[in-house]
Amino acid sequence: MTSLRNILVITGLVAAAFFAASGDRYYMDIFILTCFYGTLAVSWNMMAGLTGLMSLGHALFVGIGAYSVAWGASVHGWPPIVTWPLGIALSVAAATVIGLLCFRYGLRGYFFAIATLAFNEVAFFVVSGNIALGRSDGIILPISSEDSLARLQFFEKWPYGLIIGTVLIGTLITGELLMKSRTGYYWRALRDNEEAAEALGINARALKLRCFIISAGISSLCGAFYANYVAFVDPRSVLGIDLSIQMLVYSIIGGMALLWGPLVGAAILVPFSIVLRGFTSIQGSDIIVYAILLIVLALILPQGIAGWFVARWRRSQALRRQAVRPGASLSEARPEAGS
Amino acid sequence: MSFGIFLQAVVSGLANGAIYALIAVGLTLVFGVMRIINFAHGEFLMIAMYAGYFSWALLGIDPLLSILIVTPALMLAGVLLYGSLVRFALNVPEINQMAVTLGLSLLLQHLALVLFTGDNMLVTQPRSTAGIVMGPVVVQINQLIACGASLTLLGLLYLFMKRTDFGLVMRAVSQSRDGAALSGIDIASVYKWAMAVGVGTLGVTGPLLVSILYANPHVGALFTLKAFVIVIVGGLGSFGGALLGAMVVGLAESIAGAWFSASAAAAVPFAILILILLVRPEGLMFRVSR
Repeated sequence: MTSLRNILVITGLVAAAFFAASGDRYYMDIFILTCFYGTLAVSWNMMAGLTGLMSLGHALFVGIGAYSVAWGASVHGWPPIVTWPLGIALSVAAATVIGLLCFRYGLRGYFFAIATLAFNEVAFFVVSGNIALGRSDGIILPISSEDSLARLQFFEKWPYGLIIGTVLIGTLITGELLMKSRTGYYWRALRDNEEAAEALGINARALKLRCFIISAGISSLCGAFYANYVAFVDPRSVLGIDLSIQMLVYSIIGGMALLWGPLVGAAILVPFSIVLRGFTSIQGSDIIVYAILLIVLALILPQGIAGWFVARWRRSQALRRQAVRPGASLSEARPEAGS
Repeated sequence: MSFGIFLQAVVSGLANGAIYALIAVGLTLVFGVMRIINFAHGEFLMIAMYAGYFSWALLGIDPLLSILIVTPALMLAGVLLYGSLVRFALNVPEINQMAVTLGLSLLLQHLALVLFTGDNMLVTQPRSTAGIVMGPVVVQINQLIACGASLTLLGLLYLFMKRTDFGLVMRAVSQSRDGAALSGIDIASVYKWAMAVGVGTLGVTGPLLVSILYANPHVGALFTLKAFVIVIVGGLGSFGGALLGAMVVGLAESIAGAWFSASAAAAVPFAILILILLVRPEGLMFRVSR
């Protein structure tokens, strides 16, 4: 129940941020990018933090979504109502194939990470050399002179904010429902001890595949949105390893044990990067700062910023409960952190 | 494709393979001993390339001689890396270890971008353009030097691991950390030296490579990925595997480059990796005696 309350609180915060930003194009852009990276990081973390599958090739699914939209629109003139489902379907198919191959041989840890990275790199270089997909120059989406809901083309930025905000909240609700379901408990059992979970009769392969497919579908949705929002895709921006690393960075800094932890990471770092880039002319200064943050936090605060706050809050709650009980001293009433 | 071009592709593939092997062997050594994959491995190669470049550009030292300065410097960097980060990373979950070395890789890349700009830098000497012609095949002198030095060093490393007490200790730790600790081996010192040797090998590769290939802040990332491919293709932790994997990757890449486009050739190592992971996940030469 408490986590459903969390979702309500987060929905309220996202809505508040949306209304606060809606007056200004610059702030709206920050809001949109925060939601975009936040959703991606949450979907990445469904695999990494909640099921224990580190993927370093998640950009592949963003790329499939983005390229489906860009290719469909520029070559065939297909509207988003066709290309978005197409992108998601292709991503689900790709995730199924990759997942079946990887899980069949029990790849995990570093090996799974590097296998997914390899699939991503193959796609990157194939797209970079493919004329129909615009090679490394990318594809510019055709733009008409007036707004069109059917083509998801708006002059103002707030409609995009509305779309990606909805996607973000939808992702969180889906994730929350999954975590409360039998599947979610199985996922966490697999993360904590795969052998033990399998010994108890959990079908590890099928459950990991389910997680991979859901996560890939959400990432692909974000990619499709990105193509319509920016109206330009190229291999570096939607298929590059940097994008996959960003998902990992936000998750680690936010907190991987919580569904919404990565969102906290994105909500801190994305606006920070954009603002910092506006201030200094040093190329990559934002990356230097968050690389340092990543190293330090990964070593001294493995549960992430959100995880740390939640653990602290729970401890204070427990202490308060203990304190009102007569006869209990504070020193006895110290529960384990994070339990 | 004519036979001459094919032969040329084979020769340059093997020459590249020898250099790849030396890069990959450092990665596999560190992984074998410490079970950590260092995502910043290529960034230390990038640093070594810049060190080789600047000692030539500013001090006029031939890259062949600057190896003698750059290698100890990189060994020291390895020790510092162990003492400052990796030592602590050993106690955190695998995903956090990955985050630490990935973070270091991003940090070094972007610091290099600030310090050295994004310009390509290359050592150009009279011998840079010289080559040996053997029928239809041309081999650059510098490529030959790098290839020879790399094979020599690989041989020395192999002897070091097989014939010295210290190599024995390293192999013991890589087989069983607890068993080695129980036999009275100082694990921390072995780790420190594994990092020193693993990163130090790049001190030889870097200066040799910068007279063949442009140095820029992102050159390392490319080699990190290739080194992963090589060590997994060859079998993680295996010396012979790294050499074999490097030759396979070097050859496949250069033959694909002669046949298809450059971007297809770039995808080839990863396609090989996927194949190997699916057919033989333990790698081509995983040691039978575990």
